[in-house]
Amino acid sequence: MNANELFNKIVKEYSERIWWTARRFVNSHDDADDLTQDIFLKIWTALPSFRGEAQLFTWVYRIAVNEAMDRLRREKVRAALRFASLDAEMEKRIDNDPWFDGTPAQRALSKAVAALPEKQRQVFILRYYDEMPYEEMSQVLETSVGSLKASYHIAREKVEAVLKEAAAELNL
Amino acid sequence: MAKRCGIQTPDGYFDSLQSRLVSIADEAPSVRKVGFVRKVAPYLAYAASLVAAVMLGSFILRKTAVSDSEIPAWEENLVAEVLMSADPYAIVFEPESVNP
Repeated sequence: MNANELFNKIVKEYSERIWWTARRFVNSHDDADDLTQDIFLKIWTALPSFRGEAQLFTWVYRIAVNEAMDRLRREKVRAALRFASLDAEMEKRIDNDPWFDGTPAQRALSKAVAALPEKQRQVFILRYYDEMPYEEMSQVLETSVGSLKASYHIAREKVEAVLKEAAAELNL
Repeated sequence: MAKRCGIQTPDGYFDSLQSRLVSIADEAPSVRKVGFVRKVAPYLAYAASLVAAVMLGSFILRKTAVSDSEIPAWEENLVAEVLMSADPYAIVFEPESVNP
């Protein structure tokens, strides 16, 4: 299989899943579209270095998560230069999302996840939204399963606490 | 499949996304392996600039260092007194030109 064929296979098999992951990180349809294109451009450029030492899925996903985190870090710096907070901007983005058609509780969940520290956010998105097994996640994030489980547990507790507060405010 | 949790997408979005992604291979510059020299070139540049900074710093320090003959005699006395009070076992040789 040559590079083009492999790349097309990756697009066909993983593009939708990667888009959903990107969507969870950036909380915007247009930004997720942009980020997904950046991810696949990175995949295309890095293809010669893929020697099959990792599974294709974990290799692709690792690039996706790293690109998403890089993008968020750049956004954080740009927000700081405007004396703004990325957390506040994310909340606004979630509130004004024209492609969101869910419940207030789901919106509160998105906000709670967006407010998590970097590592916990990664783990929560991959575990809760993408339903990725810990063993796979361990290869994607290059972290031990035990550490991932601990991160997920802490993240879940934080999210639950925020949701309880939000539920009280919304009288749910 | 991933949980959607209230997020929608336009009809046919993923088909058009796939078409656009596939065209990356046609539009992006042809992929070629990066040679060893190109890979290490940035590190060589950092190392060279570090060496240059150290050499420049040494040069400046040498040029601005005060030689012994330029130190006034009264400052030498002060140093000698301080040295003696700090370390009674220190042996201080007074230059012949300085009065005890």
